[in-house]
Amino acid sequence: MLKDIGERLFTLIPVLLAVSLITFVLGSMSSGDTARTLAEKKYDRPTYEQIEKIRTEMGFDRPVLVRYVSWLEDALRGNLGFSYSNDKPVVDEIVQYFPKTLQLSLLALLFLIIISFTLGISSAVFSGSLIDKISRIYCFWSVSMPEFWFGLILLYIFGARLGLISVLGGNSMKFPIIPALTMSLCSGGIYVRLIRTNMEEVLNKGYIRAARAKGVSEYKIITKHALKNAMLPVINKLGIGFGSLLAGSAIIESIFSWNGLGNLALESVKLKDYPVVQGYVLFMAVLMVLINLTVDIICGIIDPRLKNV
Amino acid sequence: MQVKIQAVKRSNARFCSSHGIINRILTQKAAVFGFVIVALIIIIAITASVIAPNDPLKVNMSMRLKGLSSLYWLGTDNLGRCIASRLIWGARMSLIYSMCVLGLMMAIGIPIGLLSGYAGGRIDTFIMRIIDIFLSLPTFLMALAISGMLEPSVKNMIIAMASVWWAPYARIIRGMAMQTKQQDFMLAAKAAACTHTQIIFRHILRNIAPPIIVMATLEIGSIILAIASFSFIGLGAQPPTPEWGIMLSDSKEFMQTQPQLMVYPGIAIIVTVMAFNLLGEGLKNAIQN
Repeated sequence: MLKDIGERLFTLIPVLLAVSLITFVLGSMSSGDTARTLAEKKYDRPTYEQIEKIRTEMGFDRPVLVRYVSWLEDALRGNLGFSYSNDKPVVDEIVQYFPKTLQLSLLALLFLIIISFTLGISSAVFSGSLIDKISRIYCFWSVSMPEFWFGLILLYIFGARLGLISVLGGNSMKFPIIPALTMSLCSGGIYVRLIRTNMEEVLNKGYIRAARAKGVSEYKIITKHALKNAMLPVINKLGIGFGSLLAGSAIIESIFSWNGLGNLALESVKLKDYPVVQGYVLFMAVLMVLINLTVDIICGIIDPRLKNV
Repeated sequence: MQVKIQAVKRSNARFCSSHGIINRILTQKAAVFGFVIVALIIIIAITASVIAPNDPLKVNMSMRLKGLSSLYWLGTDNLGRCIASRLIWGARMSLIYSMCVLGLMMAIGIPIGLLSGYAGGRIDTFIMRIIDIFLSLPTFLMALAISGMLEPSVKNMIIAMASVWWAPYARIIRGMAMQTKQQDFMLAAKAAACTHTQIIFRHILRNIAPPIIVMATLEIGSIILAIASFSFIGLGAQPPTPEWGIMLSDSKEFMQTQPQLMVYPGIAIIVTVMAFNLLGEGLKNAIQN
C-alpha cells in the first residue's frame, strides 16, 4: 500500500510541473509591464531609467526559462512572491483566505452528499414512483440552472426580502448555509443520476436475488449489500466534485460577498494582481492533485480489488 | 480497389442510416419540444438586427429603469437601454460564442482523439497522460488562469474553455476510434492500400461522425451556461456587450429596488440551456437505441 502511494506521488510530479509552467508562461505573457507597475508604486511617476533599474533588480530582463527556474525554486521554498496591491506575501494571503473557502466547500459537499444519496437511492429503490419522477425533474433542472442566477434569486429572497442574510457583506453569516445550498443544489443532478444507475445495476445482480431468497431484510440488502458496491464510482466522482466545489466556489463567493480565496482571486484579476492569481491557480492545482490521490487511496481501501491495478 | 469501394460504400450506408435517427427523434415529445425552441432561438439570433425594437447599446439616461411599454417591450435598464433588444442580441452573442468554443474544442479534440486511438502504443500512452493532466483540473480553474493572467476578454474566455474541454471529448473519440479500428472493413481498407490519413479521416471519422455530433449538441447547453457564468464574474465578454451574463451582473446592484432586471436574462439562459439539453438527450436516446 505504502509503495503504491509512493509511486502515485511520483507520477504527480510531471502534472505539477506542467501546471506550474502553464501558470508561469501565462503570467509572463500577460499584457501589463510588471516592472512599470512596480516602478509606478515606488516612484509615483517613474523615469525610464527608474523602470529599467527595477527591471534589472527584479530580474525581469532575464530569459523566461531562467525566471521560471528561479520562481520554481522560490515556490518550493514556500515563497510565491508578493501581492502587487498590498505587498503582503502571497502565501500569507492564501493561508488567510483559504479556511473560508474550505468551510463553504465542505458544507456544500455535506449537502451534496445528503441530497444525492437520498434522491439517488430512493429513486432506484422505488423505480417509477413519485419520488423517482421528482428526482428526474430535479436532475434535469440541476444541469440547466445557472448556478449564479439561482444564487442571485436566493440572495434576493433571503437577503432583500426576508433579511436573513446581508446583501452586502456575507461575513454576518456564521455558517454559509445559503451559499453552500446553492452550490450543492446546482451540482447535485449528475450525482443523483450516477447513484441511481449504479444502484439499479447492482440491485439487478444475482447476489442481491440470492440475499433476498435467503430472507435478508430489504433494508439490509439496500444498505449493506447494494450500497457498498454501488458506492465506488460515486466516491470517485464525489472526490472530483469536491475539487470543483473548491475551485468553483469563486462565483458563489462573489455573489454572497463571502470572503474566501475564490473571491480574492476574482478581485485580484480585476486589480491585475498577477502574483496572487498565479499563487491561487498553483495552490488550487496542487490541492486538486492531492484530492485525486486521496480519493484513489480511499477507493483502494474500500475495494481491495483495485489495489493491484 | 474493389474492396476499397465496398468499404467506402459500407461506411456511407452506415452514415446514411441516420435517416432512421430523425424518425426516432420525432417520436420523443421532449426532444421535439427542445428542437422547436432551439430553432426559435437560432431564428431570433440570426434576425436580431431586424426584430430587436431598439439599439441594444444606446444609452438614454432620461429613460432609466422604465417599465413595460410598446417601445421598450420589457422596460429599460439602469442606463436606459432597451432590455428586450439586449436579450435578443444576447441570444446571438451566446450562440456565436458557444459555436466558437465548440468549433475550437472539436478542432483540437477530434484529431488528437483519432490519432491516439488509431496509433495506439506509445503515442497513445503519451497523449493519454496529457489528457489526464487536463482532466484532473477543474474547468473553472484553467479558465481563471488563462483569462486572469492574460486580459479578460471574449477571445481569452473562448480559448480558455476550449483548452480545457477538448480533453474529455478527445478521450471519448479515442475510445470510439479504437473500437472502429478493430472492425473488418478496416482490414479491407488496409488491404486496399489506403494511407493512414485516408483511413483516419475517410473511414474512422465518417463512421463515428453521428455520435460526435450528438456529443457536441449535449455540450452546447453547458457551454452556454459557462459562458454566461464567466461573463457574469467579469472574466468573459466585457460590458457593454449585450450578453446575458453581463446583464445579470449589472442587475445585481439594483436587486433591492428593481428585481425584475435579474429575472429576464436568467429566464433567457435557463430556457436556452434546457432546450439544448432536451434536444441533446433526445439525440442521445435515438442513437443509443
